[in-house]
Amino acid sequence: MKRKMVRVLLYSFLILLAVICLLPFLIMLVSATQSNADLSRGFTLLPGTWAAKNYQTLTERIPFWTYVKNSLLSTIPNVILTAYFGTMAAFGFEKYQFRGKKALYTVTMLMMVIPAQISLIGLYRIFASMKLLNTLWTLILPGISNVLTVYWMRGNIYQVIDNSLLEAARIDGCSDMQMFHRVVLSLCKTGVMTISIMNFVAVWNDYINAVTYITSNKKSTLSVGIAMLNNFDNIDLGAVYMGVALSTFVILAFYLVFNSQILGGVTEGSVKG
Amino acid sequence: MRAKKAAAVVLAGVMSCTAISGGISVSAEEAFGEKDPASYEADLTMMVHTTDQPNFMIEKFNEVYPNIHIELVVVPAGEQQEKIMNMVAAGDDVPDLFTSRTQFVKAIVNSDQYYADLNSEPYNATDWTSAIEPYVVGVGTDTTGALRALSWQCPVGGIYYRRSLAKEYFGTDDPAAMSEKFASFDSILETARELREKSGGEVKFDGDALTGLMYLGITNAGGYMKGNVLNTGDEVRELFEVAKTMYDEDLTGKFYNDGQSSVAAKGEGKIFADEKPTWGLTNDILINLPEQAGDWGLASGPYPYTAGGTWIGISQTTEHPEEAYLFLKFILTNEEFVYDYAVNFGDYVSNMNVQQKVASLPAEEAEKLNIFTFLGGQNAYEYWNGELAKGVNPEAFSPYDEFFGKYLLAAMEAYAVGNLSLDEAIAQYQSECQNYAPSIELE
Amino acid sequence: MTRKKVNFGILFVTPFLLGLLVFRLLPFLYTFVISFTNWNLMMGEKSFTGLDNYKRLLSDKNFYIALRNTVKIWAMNIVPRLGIALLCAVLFAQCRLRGKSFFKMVFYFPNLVNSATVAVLAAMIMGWQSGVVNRFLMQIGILEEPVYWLGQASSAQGIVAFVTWWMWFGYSAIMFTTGILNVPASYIEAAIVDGANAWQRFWRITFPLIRPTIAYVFLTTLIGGLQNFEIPRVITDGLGAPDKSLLTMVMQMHTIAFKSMQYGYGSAFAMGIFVVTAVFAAFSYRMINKKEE
Repeated sequence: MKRKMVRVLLYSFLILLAVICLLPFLIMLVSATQSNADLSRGFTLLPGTWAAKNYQTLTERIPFWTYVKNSLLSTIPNVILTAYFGTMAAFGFEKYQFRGKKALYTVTMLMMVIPAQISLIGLYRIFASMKLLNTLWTLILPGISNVLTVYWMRGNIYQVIDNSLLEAARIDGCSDMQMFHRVVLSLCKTGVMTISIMNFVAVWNDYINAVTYITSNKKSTLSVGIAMLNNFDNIDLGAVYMGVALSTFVILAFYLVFNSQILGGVTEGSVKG
Repeated sequence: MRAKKAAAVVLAGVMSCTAISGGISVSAEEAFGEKDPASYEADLTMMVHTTDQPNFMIEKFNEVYPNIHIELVVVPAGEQQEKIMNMVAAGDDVPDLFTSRTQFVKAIVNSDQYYADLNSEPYNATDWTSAIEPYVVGVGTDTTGALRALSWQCPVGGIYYRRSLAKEYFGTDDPAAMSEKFASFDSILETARELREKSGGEVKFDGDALTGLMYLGITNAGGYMKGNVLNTGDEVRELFEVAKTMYDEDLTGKFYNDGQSSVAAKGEGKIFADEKPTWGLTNDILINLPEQAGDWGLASGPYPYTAGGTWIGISQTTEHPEEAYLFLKFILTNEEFVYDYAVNFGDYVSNMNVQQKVASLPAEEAEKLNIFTFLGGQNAYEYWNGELAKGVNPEAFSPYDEFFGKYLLAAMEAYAVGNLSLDEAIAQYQSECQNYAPSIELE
Repeated sequence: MTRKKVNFGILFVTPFLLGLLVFRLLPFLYTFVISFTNWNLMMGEKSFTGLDNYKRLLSDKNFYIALRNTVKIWAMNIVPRLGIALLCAVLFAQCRLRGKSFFKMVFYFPNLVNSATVAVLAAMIMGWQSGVVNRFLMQIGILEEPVYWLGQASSAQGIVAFVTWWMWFGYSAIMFTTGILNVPASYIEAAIVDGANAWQRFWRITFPLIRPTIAYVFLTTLIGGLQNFEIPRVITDGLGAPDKSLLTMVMQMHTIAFKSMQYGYGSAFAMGIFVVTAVFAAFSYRMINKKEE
């Protein structure tokens, strides 16, 4: 009896949490189907009929799909760069010895403490001198130096990669680069995927960097586009919510795809000696 | 373009003025901006924060100057000021034309780094700025007399009110009668109390007594700054008191920071008036309460005021000064365009000739303007002309309006709801403003 | 690993470190240098003023207010976040539950949404006169009049803390789950053989072994919490009202540097934030690692 009660409690708890998580999405979805006039009076949970019109207003006011494209074009390369170089650096820190390693790693960790805002002014100048302002590179290149990823992957490598594996590979004649590609990247796939999702979300939703470095409308990202929508003189709330809903859908789709990769891998990772 | 110079000069001498309205005289010698319109070719960029009006402007502009292409760069309104300042500071490519909102236009205009001086060669805008509302020219001029920016609109204010509610509770919906009821802050309070009595507390005078009061009073008080001193004089304190009275006596809807509730309440007929300038009608009431068309009227508040609005100027570093200037001049002086714009958007323009024209439209023509119909047939232009005639002081604008306005509202709210005493609220206002702009002085 | 002629370790960390240099260290130094000037874009000034900015910082009421608020909001958020995330992670890892993958997925959804959007939704829901929560509470009779949640300091901070929690607890749960799953199964099995029940298994075996993960999550939450910016900014339009209770450190820095264009002072302020964060982080790091012994 006690067991059953505990289970019921646990399930209710989880379901409550799930509802709390999902409710705002529902609200967002419903709001995307309502007209500006209705939305400006507060919202209801009943769906409206303005979805098509909102979509039309949305695409008229901002080049929505161009922004989606730009967001993808900046996010995906950034995530790939981060995953590749971050894991590589983690591998170097974790499995190799060299002078000054500890100092370098400490400095690296310290960088995590710096708020992103601080870098804005300085980075603006640096990008300006590199003539990279107003290009998507400003959003992609910083992916090389993602501290969180290095920290995460270092822990991951420690857990997953035994030194014996590396020795065996070396005996088989693998060079270091090959070890990295064949052993580390494949065994740590789950960890890489996990942190990559987090990075994807962070870059996709980033606003402050995109709005600072990119001025041309054709190159702006989605988060900036939605902010623009929200700042017009005659705001159309329906269009804004439609934009937000669509943006969330895109990222949701990515997440679900990534997730299936992770879920498959998570069980793998846990069964090892 | 250089090669075509000779041909253009000949053409200019041959062509008549029919295609170009606005009275540009054709002379044999080539004057700045007076070549054949079709001969101007350029790709310009223009930075804005909203696109409906600029798109319309560009469309009409291209009917006259088909080969000048303007691409809009949209920056969210809140980021505009820092974006421009950053770009100039970093030596980045600044757009040929860019807009500034009234809240910070003085910051841009007062500096000699951003907008080009339109009074100097080769623009010589003094030729035509007399047709533009004087206070607009005044605000766009910096302390050395250089004209840096102008606005195609004058966001003049008043008090919008519900006609049906006015008839019900005051027996009349005539604007002149309403203006009398709003003639001073005391009479506004009286009117609000009368409203509360007669409606049993159901109908409130306005949605939030804060923003409205600030609009009504700050221009007359001299603006946020008097020279380099933060304005906390009697007129400003009066605003605090009125806000508190309205809160304490339940005369306002108290929808602080809650635009949604305000609109909802208006929809339910629980709000009588709205203290807003021109765009309050076109961007807010008209859009959000379409079913109330015809049921709103416009009356005067205690003082004439303006709030908000957008300005435009030419970047100093533009490579196409002539074409950029043509656009600016077009949207300000081409009367056919300005009239079209006024009719299309229901906006109150800064070109005085068009102001007169719209104000004196016969009834059948006036009906075409959506704002007049929304106001039950009242000619808002007539009203706004009247307000401007009372005079608006161009000194009442400071570079810090955007933030000082927010700080003022926060201080007023704190006092109104009783969190702070008047002295504390004023002190809070002063310290926030000084934090924002350390160089200002306090009274 | 053995050393080779070309130490690949160095090779491997170089691209990352180069990026760090260019994209983090250099801008940081730039900011550091500027903090000693009175650079103000609106006034057009830019001259060296030594420690003036720092003196101003130390006597700036807003700095301390912002610090206090930021820490308060963080504190309100950390316990539920770690607690619930840990609880979920344990449930997922150790119990047999139906729909595990569904829950895992759904709990992460909140992290996908733009924080600005979340803030706008939150402001709408908690709105004074027509917010859903007030309307609902009035309908079921708990409230007679709508409560101005966002207008009072503690409830406003609570709301921000809650929203932050909502966005991030799933993220933390994933971190914890990975940590727990990385505990070698053999330890757990040995414990089961030894007759330990679920509770004991967790506290004696799992918890100590995931300490590094907990440390990591705690530290990142701490740093992230001290930099809380987007949500309060959107809710209060950069003002930190009511009564500056929602003024966080980064928000104040942002206003100073990017809205009032005082780059010099803003940089000093940023340095202040950096120092505070570093101190907190170092302190927590020591505390956690000490416990291990």
